[in-house]
Amino acid sequence: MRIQSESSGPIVVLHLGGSADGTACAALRTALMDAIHSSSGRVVCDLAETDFISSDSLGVLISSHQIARSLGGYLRLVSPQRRIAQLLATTQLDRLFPIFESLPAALAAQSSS
Amino acid sequence: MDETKILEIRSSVEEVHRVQADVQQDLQRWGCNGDTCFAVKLALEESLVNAIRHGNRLDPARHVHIKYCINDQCITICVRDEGPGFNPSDVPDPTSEENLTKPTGRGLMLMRAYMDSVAYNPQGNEVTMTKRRPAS
Repeated sequence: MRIQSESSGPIVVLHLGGSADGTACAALRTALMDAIHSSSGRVVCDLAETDFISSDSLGVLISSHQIARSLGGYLRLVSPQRRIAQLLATTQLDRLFPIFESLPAALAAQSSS
Repeated sequence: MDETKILEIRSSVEEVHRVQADVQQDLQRWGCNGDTCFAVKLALEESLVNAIRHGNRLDPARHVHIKYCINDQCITICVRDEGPGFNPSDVPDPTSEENLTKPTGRGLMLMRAYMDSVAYNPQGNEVTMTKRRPAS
């Protein structure tokens, strides 16, 4: 999978592209940990170009969400494609993650979400 | 007309990628739509990772055996590991409140959600999954 990181003020945005399958977990975990530590846990994952997420990669997102929350931050998801949004709904992880329709909306949201 | 293939891989997550590439190539050649390809990719990923990690316990001496059949009506995939097996009814519901924040335990639920049938052999080391193709 492709992972591109950028800063938007105090927030780190990770643009995740392609397939987040089992072979992508290690790179995804490293990128998320780096983002969490450099932003005090304020991380946005842009899923607009993500076309697949395995349960292992969902687990990495969940663990990262927990760590970000423990630091007083968050892990927000943005612009999931239809099949990824359906996957998040099927697993009911849409109850866990704050999900936004656009990057500006995710960046502008109050820090409690 | 059916197309059936049999594969055998080592107990390595990297091997999953090779199987996925072969299966996706065949699904596209058979004209399966994007939703069907996604569902099969997800269920195959979860079943292979379960077989490698939980069935074979990452033992490099053990293998995972895959058989898949594609025709105009459906895709059937059988994945067998060389482990002792497990009882699928022992797997807790990952969508329950107490399990929602756990990072693991969603594989079987996803297989059931995205395939039309999922059945284990009595030993619990072989799963057969079927996905019906939408009428064109």
